[in-house]
Amino acid sequence: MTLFLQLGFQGIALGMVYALIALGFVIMTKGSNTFNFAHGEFVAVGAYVVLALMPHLPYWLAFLGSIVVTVALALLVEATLLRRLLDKGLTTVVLATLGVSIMVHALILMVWGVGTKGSAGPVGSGTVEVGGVVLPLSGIATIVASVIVLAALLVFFRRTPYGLALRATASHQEAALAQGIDIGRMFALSWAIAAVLAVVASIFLASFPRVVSPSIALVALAAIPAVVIGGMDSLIGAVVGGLIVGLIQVLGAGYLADYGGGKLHEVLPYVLMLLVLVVRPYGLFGSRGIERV
Amino acid sequence: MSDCALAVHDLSVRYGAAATALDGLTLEVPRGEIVALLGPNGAGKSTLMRAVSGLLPVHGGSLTSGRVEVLGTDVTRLRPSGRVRVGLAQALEGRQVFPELTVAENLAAGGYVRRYRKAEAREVRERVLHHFPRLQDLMDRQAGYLSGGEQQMLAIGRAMMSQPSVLLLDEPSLGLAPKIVETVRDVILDINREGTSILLVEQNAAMALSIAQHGYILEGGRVVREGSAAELRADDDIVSLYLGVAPVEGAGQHG
Repeated sequence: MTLFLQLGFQGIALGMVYALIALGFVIMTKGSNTFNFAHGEFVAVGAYVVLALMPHLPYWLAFLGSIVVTVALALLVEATLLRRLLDKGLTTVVLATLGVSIMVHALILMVWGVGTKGSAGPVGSGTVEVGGVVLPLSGIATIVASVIVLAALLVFFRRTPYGLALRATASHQEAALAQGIDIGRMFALSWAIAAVLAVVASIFLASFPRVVSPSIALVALAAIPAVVIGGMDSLIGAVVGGLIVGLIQVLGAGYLADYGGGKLHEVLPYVLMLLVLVVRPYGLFGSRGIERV
Repeated sequence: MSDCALAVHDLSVRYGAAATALDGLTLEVPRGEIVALLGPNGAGKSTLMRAVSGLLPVHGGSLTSGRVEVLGTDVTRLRPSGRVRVGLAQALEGRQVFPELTVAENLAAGGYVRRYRKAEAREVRERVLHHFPRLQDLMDRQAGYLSGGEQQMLAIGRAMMSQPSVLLLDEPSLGLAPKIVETVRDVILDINREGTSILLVEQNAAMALSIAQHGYILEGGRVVREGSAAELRADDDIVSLYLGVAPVEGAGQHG
């Protein structure tokens, strides 16, 4: 039971990280009609920049600095590439993001090399014990910070004019234009929000015991099954999908370590994703009319 | 200040490499008036609306010549958001509400460019809603679940939230039951009486000419006839061509 609770807690913490990344995917998909395959690399950039700034600045400033850099990168890609390609069709745009992903990955290797680095999390390796269950501080920080970010996001979408304008744009682009909502700005805004979420996710994805390495972008892409499971156009779906993926990965790693060379848990999210695609292609919370988007 | 709420000079429009959709079109909406724009499907009515509101690029169209002025301000180079700020609002053909958003949110989105403070937003909404008492009870309902007539009311109400001087209405009677068409017609008259100038595109020429002061008839992207509503109503050709013709549902996508 103790093992289950411990794994469950870790699963939820990892799941929240996936939820933040998955939310970024969904917000970009809804806000600008693109699926951004470079988003995983945005997460990697976020972690590397925090790590690079940490020795020179207080942690929170390193975090803010990384947000500035990563948002700037996202806006650059959005403005120079994607907005110009929008009328060329979805396939062109998606392939372009794949190209950007590979370029950013190469850039990271050029600047920081192929080796692994230290952790980039806000808290170290401490633990607390609650009723016999050992909880790492990094996991607690992950859950607390994610819940705060999710709440802020909810307030933004429900209570601010920009949040409303973004939802209106996602709902019906031409009608949004007719109300005087600047669609181009909304595209940029959705990318900027996704980039902020990527940086928050990145520091927890690189929290103890995990470290910063070039493969962090690949780990971040495990949010894709979360997006598909939850539904491409559902914010709630992204959170639920993230939690499901986090839980089955960690529980799978704990209980199925003897099978498949200890790698089985990495496959599980994708197996579930394929199952969902067959049974319920629009995901648990997605709308049926997803092909319209 | 110009005495025209809306003035369109020598406007020509093309969609990609296709034939010219509008050909040197000139038209005016005097302040405080309702002007009806009539014509068969494909005459260029919706294209003109898009050219005026700045939505042409969405449909792959572009201006090859001409000028659009709102209250004497040249808006030809402005984006749609700039035109709304100057005082132009459009209720799109086919209603086009935000289906996932509530009625209240749809209305709020219509006031987006004005950056209202809370109290101000409430005041404007009250003023808009007195034209549409039916919407009062539906504020928390998702717009996608409203009836066609309610959606049309919402689309017009949403456009009115920016407190426009000029309102473009694209086929507001399309697909609505005769009784509801009458309600829509009364609302348009009410809005106009309170000072908003209106350019009204309609298949339902009888309805349009019954409330307009002036009318233009478009064919093949040109004005083929213009005159006071009374003149047009009295014209036998127009009566036989357009009046008594029932509104056609879903028609005129590129009209």
